[in-house]
Amino acid sequence: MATKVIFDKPKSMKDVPMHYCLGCGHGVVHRLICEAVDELGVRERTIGVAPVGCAVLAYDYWDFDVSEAAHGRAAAVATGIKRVWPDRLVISYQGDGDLASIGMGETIHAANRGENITVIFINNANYGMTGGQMAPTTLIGQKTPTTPMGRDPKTTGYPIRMAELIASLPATRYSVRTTVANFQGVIQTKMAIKKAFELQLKGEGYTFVEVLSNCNTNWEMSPVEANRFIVETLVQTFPLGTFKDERKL
Amino acid sequence: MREQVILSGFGGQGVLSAGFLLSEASMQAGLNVTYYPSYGAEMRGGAANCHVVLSDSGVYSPVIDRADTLIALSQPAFDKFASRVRENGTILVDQSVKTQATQARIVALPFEEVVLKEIGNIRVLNTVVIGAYAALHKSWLKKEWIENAIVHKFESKGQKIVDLNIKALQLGYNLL
Amino acid sequence: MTKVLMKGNEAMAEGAIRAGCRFYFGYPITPQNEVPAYFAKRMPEVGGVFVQAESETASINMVYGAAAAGARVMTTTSSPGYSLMQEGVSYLAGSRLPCVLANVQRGGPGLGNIAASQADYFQATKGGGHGDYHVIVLAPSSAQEMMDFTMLAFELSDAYRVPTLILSDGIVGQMVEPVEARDFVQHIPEKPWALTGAYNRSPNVVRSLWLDDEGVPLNNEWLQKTYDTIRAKELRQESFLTEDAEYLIVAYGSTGRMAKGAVMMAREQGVRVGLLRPITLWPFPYEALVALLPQLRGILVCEMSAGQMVEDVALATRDKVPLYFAGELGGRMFTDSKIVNLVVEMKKGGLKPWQPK
Repeated sequence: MATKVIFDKPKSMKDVPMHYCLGCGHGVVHRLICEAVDELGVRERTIGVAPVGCAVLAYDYWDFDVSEAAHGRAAAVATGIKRVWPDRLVISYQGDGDLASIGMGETIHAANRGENITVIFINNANYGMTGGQMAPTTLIGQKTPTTPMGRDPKTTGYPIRMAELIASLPATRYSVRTTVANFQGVIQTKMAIKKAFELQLKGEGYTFVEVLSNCNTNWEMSPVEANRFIVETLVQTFPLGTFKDERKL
Repeated sequence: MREQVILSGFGGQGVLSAGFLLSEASMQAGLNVTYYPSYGAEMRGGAANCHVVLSDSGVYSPVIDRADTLIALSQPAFDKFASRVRENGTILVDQSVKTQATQARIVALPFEEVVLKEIGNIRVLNTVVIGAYAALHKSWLKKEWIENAIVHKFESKGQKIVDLNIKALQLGYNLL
Repeated sequence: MTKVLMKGNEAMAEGAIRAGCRFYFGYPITPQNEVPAYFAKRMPEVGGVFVQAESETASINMVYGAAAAGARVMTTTSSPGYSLMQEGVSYLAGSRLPCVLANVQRGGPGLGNIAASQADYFQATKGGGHGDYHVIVLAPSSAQEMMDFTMLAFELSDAYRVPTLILSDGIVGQMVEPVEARDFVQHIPEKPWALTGAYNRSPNVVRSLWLDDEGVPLNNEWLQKTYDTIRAKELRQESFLTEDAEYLIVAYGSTGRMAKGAVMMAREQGVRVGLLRPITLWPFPYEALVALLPQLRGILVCEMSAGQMVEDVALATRDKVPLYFAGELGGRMFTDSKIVNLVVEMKKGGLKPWQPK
């Protein structure tokens, strides 16, 4: 009797063990990106830009062209690549520090110019790789090494809602927030990523997918607790949904 | 005297804490000490090791080239550092680690087995190992120094944790 | 005085607190993340201010503001972050603002790795940012020196109105050693030039721009005169077993520690070698080096780089004594044994002389 493969790694995902912590959302989103690339048949047209953060080694897992970028500058690097190769699928993949802190200027301006790229933002409310420091997305009261008494809005402001902020720019074509903390979320994230890629390939403009993901190591929870935290608490500050889906230009 | 110890294992095994405890104990006893930790960039799962140099005179290089003692809590730790131990030095490992002969003597003890059986908490494995180390170096290292360092380090976490570690220390000490 | 085990990075932060620094602005970067975490906890305890800035570029400009306002202020980073700060450092230097900065060097160029390195020497001592300026550069090699040199940095910076940089590395930053906590500084000098609100005085301006013919040249002349004074009065170095030395190692920071071990080991083998460990990298202690030349048969410079400080050593030796160089690249480090072998080779005549690149 011949065996039938019914579930496998996507072709554009390298078959190597990942360095991510157990339960981390990065591995899931990497897979969804690769599935979408395969389903659209565009592996040889895809160019990714990796962040500085836990996903700095994304090019060890994605079997397509990838560039590093200096911390925060991925949207600018993606702009450079897309301007040279307008028909390629250009993906910028970034975390909280990279996209919303040091890279805030580049992030906003790439969106404002309506660069025909897809930015995937992994929001886990802290700086994972460097040990869990406060991020622009850290919740009020959340304890981190740089907010040992809990984040105080009087001195550090409030968590920034990037999907909404990006959606407010006229040139943004599609801005959505999903999560990979539960089954429905994973399916919705896959649909959002694939839709963003399709819009880019049709040349319809700038697309942004924010994914709530867990950092169970720095949150000091188990992966199950961490995903529950997302679904019960994190979404109160970062509601799931589509914030823009229209073509203005 | 001068003692150069490398402690190595998986990230999360408590190797760095053990080295720190030894450093604290030695400092309280009046020795000069330098502790140098080394980690991979990953938050979890990579290798962790630390170099501890103890001396009654000067401590120069914080990085150890030829160790007097190696404490290896994992197979990769043994494989990586065994050749860095000087002739007639000591390698302290858990029985489960596969060893080959080196120019140092190998002391293999049932650390994991004993800590799970007698204490039931793998998290104090590193303290058990330090206990055994202390027993090997009775000539210059007093158990009380480490007991004081345990109290100093864990008193904020409560008496139960202090007692747990004191018990673990004794357990390791008695293995020799 | 009781000693406490402290990590180099933490000793640096505590030293700043004891020197009266009550403002810290910084951004996380390995291998110095202990510093912002330490200040986040400690500043509220002493009534100071900690801000995690959005980037290193923002950090250095926040430092500029606090320094202009007359405060003792600090930021710290590692190599890629120090690159981002260069524009700000040029502004701080040109505007004559005192402040203390730290670069805990890591492997580069680019994103590099998180291992220790000494490849930012040129950037630190020869400029880094645009224009004719210097910052005072201090190079600690122990946790105690991380504290002591940070405190010294605040004194020097305020005295001369010149930014001062602690040039450390990933080994010195991460090492844990017994540290004696120094007394809190009691007296901080007045800063009549600072921006505090022009009450009962004519307004102060902090600037580095002058569009007329004279302003910038005059500012530069003042800066150069200040640097001459610093060079005359603030040189610091450690001479270790140099009195009867025939051979000399020149090394700083953590490499200086390995070199000290090597000196002890080489002496046991009968080689009369000593170590000159520069503590001020700018101003560089040329004079101390020149004074040793008559007794020396060879000088070995060891750096975790492809050869940067060696150029300053060459300026001092001017071919009077054979000069050799050994480097470790991209985050690799020396061991004391390796340096001993090099010293023995040097004595046997087996090393190739250093050539500029």
